[in-house]
Amino acid sequence: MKRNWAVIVVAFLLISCATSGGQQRAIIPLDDSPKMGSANAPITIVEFLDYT
Amino acid sequence: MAVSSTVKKIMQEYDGKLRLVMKEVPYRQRQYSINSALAALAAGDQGKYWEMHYLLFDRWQQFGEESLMINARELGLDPERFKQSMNSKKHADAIERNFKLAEELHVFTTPTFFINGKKYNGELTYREFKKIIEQELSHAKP
Repeated sequence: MKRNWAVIVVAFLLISCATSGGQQRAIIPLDDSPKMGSANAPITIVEFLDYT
Repeated sequence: MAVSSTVKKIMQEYDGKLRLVMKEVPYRQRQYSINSALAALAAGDQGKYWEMHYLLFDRWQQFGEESLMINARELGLDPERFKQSMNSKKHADAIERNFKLAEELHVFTTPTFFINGKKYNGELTYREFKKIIEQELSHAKP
């Protein structure tokens, strides 16, 4: 029984990695931060920056 | 500087496919770093965020109050309004929120990019951006 659970967990992790490219995706609130480009664009780039 | 011009080039090349969102996270210990971030946000109040953003990168290390006012005048901003905006609680609060968010997301260096939520620390070359964007586009729904 324990072995079955282990197989399920490993399979889930493998699927998760495959679908996310092996990296978690953060959900970032955009608020009223300065933006450029279409709100419907398929890709959103969030840049954390400092000018100095 | 190089990163800003790379991002600009990528935005132009993939026009309509990208949205760029900026989160200012200046160095807390450097007043001129905080001032430059505030200057960009204050310029945004008069519709000139991006113009100030590129000017700050072009004139790197010229972040004294007088230099920032010169930038503002050059961009045709109302100087008094610009000063008031720079000192406004609204932008100070926005920067504080960015600090908190950066901490939650374990952002320890600038620039840090999140491209469709995936984290990339440090500068990315044009080629690296292009590769990531092409991968993301291939996953995007038609």
